Amino acid sequence: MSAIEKKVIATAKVAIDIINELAGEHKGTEHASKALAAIEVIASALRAGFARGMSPDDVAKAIVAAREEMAATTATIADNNAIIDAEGNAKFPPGE
Amino acid sequence: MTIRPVIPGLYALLALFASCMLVFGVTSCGPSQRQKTLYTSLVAVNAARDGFTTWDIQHQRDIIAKATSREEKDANIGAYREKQGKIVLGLLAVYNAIALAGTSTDEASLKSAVEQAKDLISAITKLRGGP
Repeated sequence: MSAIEKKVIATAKVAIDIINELAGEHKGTEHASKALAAIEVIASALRAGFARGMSPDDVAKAIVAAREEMAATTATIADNNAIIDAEGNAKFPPGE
Repeated sequence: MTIRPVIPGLYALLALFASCMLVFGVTSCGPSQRQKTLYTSLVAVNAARDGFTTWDIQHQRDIIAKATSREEKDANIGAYREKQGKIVLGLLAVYNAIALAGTSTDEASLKSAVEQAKDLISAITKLRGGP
């Protein structure tokens, strides 16, 4: 197997891993557009990184790191909203 | 309030380029200025994000404190969360743009990431009542 073939296969494996992870996160057709948009970003990054000569692992690290920042952001906001909903319900109990 | 730890993977990747430049010089490390620019944008966005999430919960508490009925509380919290949602979507877009620019060499992706970061920081400042 040539070096370029090995690179292509390694890149594809990284993309498949990330897409599988996304499929687990975005179940149901209502979330299909989110998964597709994320896959487009991943594909663009892989293409760009590959063209620049980065290893698939380095490209994947950049994408995964960004997704971790994004996950931390949405998780913190979800936590905030859950706390506020509980405090709001305590002050104004539902049904009263 | 719970602030989840942010895994500093992007910092590590971008810092790697910066430290590489210090040790080996510019030519052996590729576009170091680009990485420094992206690193600066990422640090600024993360600082704005952390400030926003801290302010966010206090702001929502203030809305509840001022409300005199459940209906008023629901309406005001709902209106605020529309603005909150736009900021969160903006943050996600900026992180994507920085990751893309970090793997690219073109001027357009760098400019886009930096401008998106600036716009988002301005939007957060405006929402928080800043200048």
